Amino acid sequence: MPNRRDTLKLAGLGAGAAALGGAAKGGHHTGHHAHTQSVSHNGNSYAPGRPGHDYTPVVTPNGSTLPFKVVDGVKVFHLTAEEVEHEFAPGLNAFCWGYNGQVHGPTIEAVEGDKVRVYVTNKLIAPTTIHWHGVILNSGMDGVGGLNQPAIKPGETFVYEWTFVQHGTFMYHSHHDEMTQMAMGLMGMIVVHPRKRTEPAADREFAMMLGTWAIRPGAKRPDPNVMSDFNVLTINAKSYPGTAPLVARTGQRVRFRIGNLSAMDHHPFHLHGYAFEEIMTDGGVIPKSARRPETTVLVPTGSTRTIELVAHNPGDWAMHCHMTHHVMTQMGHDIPNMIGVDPRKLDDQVTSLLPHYMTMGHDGMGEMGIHIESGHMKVPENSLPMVGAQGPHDYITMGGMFTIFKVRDGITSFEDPGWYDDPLGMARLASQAELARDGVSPDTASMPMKSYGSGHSGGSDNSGHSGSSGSSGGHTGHDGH
Amino acid sequence: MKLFKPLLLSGLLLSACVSVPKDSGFSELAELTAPMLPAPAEWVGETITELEAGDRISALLSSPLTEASVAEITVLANRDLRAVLYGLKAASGDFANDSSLPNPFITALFIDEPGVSDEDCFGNLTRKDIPIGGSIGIGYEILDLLFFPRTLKAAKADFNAAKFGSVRQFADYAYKSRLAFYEAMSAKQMMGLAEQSYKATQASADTAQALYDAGNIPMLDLNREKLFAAQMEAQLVQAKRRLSMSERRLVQALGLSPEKAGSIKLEGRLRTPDKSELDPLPVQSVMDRNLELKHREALIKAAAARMGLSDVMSFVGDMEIEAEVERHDGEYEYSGGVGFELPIFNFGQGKRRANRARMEMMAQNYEGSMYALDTSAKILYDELSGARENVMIQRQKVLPLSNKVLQGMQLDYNAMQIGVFDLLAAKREQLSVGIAYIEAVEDYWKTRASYEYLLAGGSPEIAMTGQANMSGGNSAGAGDH
Ligand SMILES: [Cu+2]
Repeated sequence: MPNRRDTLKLAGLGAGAAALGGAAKGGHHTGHHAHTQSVSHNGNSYAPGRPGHDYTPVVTPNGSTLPFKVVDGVKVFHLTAEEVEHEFAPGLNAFCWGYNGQVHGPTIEAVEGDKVRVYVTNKLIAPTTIHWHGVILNSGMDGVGGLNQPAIKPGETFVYEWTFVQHGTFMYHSHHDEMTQMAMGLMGMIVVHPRKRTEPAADREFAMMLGTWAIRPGAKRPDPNVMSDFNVLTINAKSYPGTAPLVARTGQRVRFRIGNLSAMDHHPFHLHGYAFEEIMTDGGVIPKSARRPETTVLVPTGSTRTIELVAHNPGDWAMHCHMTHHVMTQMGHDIPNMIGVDPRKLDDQVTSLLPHYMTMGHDGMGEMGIHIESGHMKVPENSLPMVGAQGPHDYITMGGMFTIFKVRDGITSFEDPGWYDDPLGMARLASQAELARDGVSPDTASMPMKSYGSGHSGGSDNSGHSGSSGSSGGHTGHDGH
Repeated sequence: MKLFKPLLLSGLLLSACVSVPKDSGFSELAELTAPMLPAPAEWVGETITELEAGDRISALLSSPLTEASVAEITVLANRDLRAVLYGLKAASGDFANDSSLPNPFITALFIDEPGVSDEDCFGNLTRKDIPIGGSIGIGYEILDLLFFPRTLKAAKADFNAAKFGSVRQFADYAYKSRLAFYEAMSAKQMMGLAEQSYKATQASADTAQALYDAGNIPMLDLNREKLFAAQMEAQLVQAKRRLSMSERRLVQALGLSPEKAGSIKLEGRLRTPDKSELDPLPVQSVMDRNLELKHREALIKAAAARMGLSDVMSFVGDMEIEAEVERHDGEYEYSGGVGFELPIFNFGQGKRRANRARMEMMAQNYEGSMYALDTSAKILYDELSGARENVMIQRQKVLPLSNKVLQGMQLDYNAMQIGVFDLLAAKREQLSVGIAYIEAVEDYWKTRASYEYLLAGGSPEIAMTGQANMSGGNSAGAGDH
């Protein structure tokens, strides 16, 4: 991992804090000139990083990478903040604010040492700025409206310029009227690849921004005033089943660069089928000695977490926020708890007044999506049912911040490969023979525990206890050692 | 005597000119009531037998009541209305009486001459001879004869006043029945909605019970729902009470006998008012047709005719013409004479002044009534167009929007934005909108009945009272004078 001094050298800003301070000061007044000079004058400067050559381009599922051109050795980007009609999932559209016709904005991708110039045009109805979250640059480029710069008024184009002195996963977002503008979607990912490789290169990299929105079913605009009741939970501004799957070939090294700019939420992001390592935060690379295997990574709001794994386990693997209300969509929360209520009498009573009534929720929410998708239960125009979508075997009762990591053997295309058919078999209805063989009776609520003694000696004459006796045996064995 | 003969002749002639209607003026009444009744006026016992009337009432009662059948039944059944006809008959009798020449006054005098009669042994007078002394006189109040044309005029005016009064009472009874009919219909419809509202709260309470039984809500929440259901039950009782009261008032307005009281049928709904705009207020025709003005006019005429008499009488006092035949001592003697009051102390100025003032008073009252009629007609016209506009807004905007809101709430329920309690509350809200609509329609029809009653010649006072009582639901039977 490059230390602070190294990164500054990389950028050609000279050694030491004093030099950085000077450059920053210069940048305040004639930023463009000062930085151009620092690149062209310094022997440590690098040619702009080339995709495919200097890095494997990141994939932004459901999104894109911001194109650039190189002008005099500077990568020139252009972001236009504007209103965009965005689809969160089939059935739910809203007027959001995004960049370059997208919500969220396209991923800015660069290589450590790249000098970049980002033009920002404001086509919104309100002033805005862009803050480059986690990026080390001079104060005048930091983008906090009022503090570092005047706000960009509607119709104006500002220019930002800096050199990436670090690599990692960062974000950009509006830093003017943040509550409103971020709730409306003004954000995007920044991926900076290392100039000098200290980690094994990843074969597949995914950039994922976690976000929360409040949209009343039937409404067409996120409500920035909502503080806690967010009902559209997104990965790259898509809610499952709108989220595109993340596809990798078995054996590939896969890196997930996950950012979170939710208004009020942190997300414990969980991947099935794997243990992964958290290798970076937006603060930098985590020393190898400090990494530990995880199945869930907590991504606090205002930060990024980069996790990595080798995709050795083919299959369809759920990847989702583990907060259960974050894998729901637009359900309300101020509704009575109907669990365990006998609906028959109520159905008769209420349908005499409201013919379309049906008691719901008495056995949970799992059936909601099916009722709605089948069309016999209508929901407001432009809204998502509470949960999920039809899967290969049954209805998937998760929505919102949910996607699928699809790992397949020997694929060359990373298009959606469809559902996984597991050759090793899947959970299924137990046969009578199996039940008899293992002495499992569905009528018995739980199997009686056997004593240690019988577990050891029981053998196959009383196979009904083999499960518990087995684990007991194991435990005893461990104790014995 | 020379004076007496022609006077007597002209009196007889006049008397023959003024023909008292043979049918007591009923045909004229029928003609005058025709515009305000859906069926021709009948006089049970005169134009139709009691039996026939009974059959027709039964036939009309066998179908659900309508505005037309209500008016017809009232004409056939209402005893007070029948009494009005006998009142008219009495007035025609008075008319016949007043339009006959006054009878002369005959005096006969017998003179017991001395020596002509004797007493028998029992002390009784015995006639020895035919009476030889006595006189026969005929006296005539000359003023009666002199002013007979005026008396005749007054009698005719009296009868006219009675006739217009009767016609107006026909209008009154028909109007009151019509109001009572609208009230009963409205009460019936509202009862239906109140029942549904109660059902909705009952369903809420039962749902709460089911939730409580399942362990999902505390007793507090259950009791809240039960409380609400109990309150709605009380409202249902009020609605029932209003219905039963309005039905009985309708029976009363129709004038049904206790045996027929139970057989009224109220079905369907109050008619939707026409979409067509209201015709402009026919001010002149309202004035021309008003029975109260006609009644007052007739009374003024009668009073004026009498005043003419009274004026003369005040001065002349009493005047008498006398003729006498006297037999005296077997000789017939004829004598004649005129007697009159000598106005030497009372010249009658006081009487005449009082007469003038009374006439002036009546004239002022008449003019005042005209103005009041004009104002009442304009008020009722504005009220009616306002009531019509209200119904149109309720019907064209409020009702469809309320239905849309309920549909939206059903969708929100399906999308789990709201629970069953909110949904049932929404249903109740829709029902209360329905109740407001029925109130508006009832308001419209009652205002229209008042307006049409006034247009047909009704009393502005009664029309306004009926109108004012409307909101109190207490118009039937009101406005009796
Ligand atoms: Cu979450």
